[in-house]
Amino acid sequence: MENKDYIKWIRGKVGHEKIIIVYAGGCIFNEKGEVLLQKRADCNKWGFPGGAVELGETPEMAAIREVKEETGLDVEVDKLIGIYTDSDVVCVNGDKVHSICIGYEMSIVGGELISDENETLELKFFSLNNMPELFCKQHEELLRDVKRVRN
Amino acid sequence: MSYLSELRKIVGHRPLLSAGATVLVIKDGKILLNLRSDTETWGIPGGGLELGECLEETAFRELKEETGLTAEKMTLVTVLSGKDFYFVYPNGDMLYSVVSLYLAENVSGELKITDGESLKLQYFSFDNLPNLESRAKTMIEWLKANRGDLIV
Repeated sequence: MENKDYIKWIRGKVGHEKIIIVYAGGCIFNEKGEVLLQKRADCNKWGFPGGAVELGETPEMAAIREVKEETGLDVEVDKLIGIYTDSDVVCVNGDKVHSICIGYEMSIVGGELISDENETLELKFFSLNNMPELFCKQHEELLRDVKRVRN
Repeated sequence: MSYLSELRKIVGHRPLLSAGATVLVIKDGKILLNLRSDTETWGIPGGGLELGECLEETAFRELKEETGLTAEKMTLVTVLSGKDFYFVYPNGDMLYSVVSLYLAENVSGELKITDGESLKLQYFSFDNLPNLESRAKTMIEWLKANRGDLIV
């Protein structure tokens, strides 16, 4: 259990109680400078690919692993953009989360865009000037910082 | 009671993943370290995120609690974690930390231990460091390799 599915294990202990979860993910750019978004199956809204850090992982490792799982792409992490917090998240299933999201800029080094059908409804590249509404405040803040860095 | 102490009541010593902030106070090329009362090795001031906080707030709070100092600004340097940030406390608690490292800027105030977690506070030059706690050692090695500009 220690290195796999930490969240499932701790939820088994604490139920829906609020816990701190660290997520990692971020912006993956294509050669046109467009950024990849994932339409999430849980809320039917767009967000950046990423997921929870497991025990013993660095956030960079978690970001690379989650991007592979969710998009089929192999990526490398270029730089840290920021840390985004929302201390009052309530998930669809009632789990309460104090969410820490570590956002990176990443680039594609291999793989092929394939959607993971459990978590993802659609994967699509968007121009930074023509982005849809994102599913949470932390991803909106990450987008704001990325735009500032790239302009 | 702190977030981790509450969780420990439920999970015992089992490994937890926590987020924390570590604060670099660098003055005249020397770094501020604290002699930890739990491990009796030297660490860099900082501590765990509490519910409701963002990590920058953790950095300001821990700096004040552990050193008595106040900073005008906290600048994020990097985020470190993974196997080098696994730690077993003297009481047996196992913890994986995701550490955000902040540089405290325009620091003021007088050094004062207020929280019982430190035995001593002292500035050290980077070429004459004392016996460091493992995570502090990893962070200082990272700084030497990646941010030489901070340790001139």
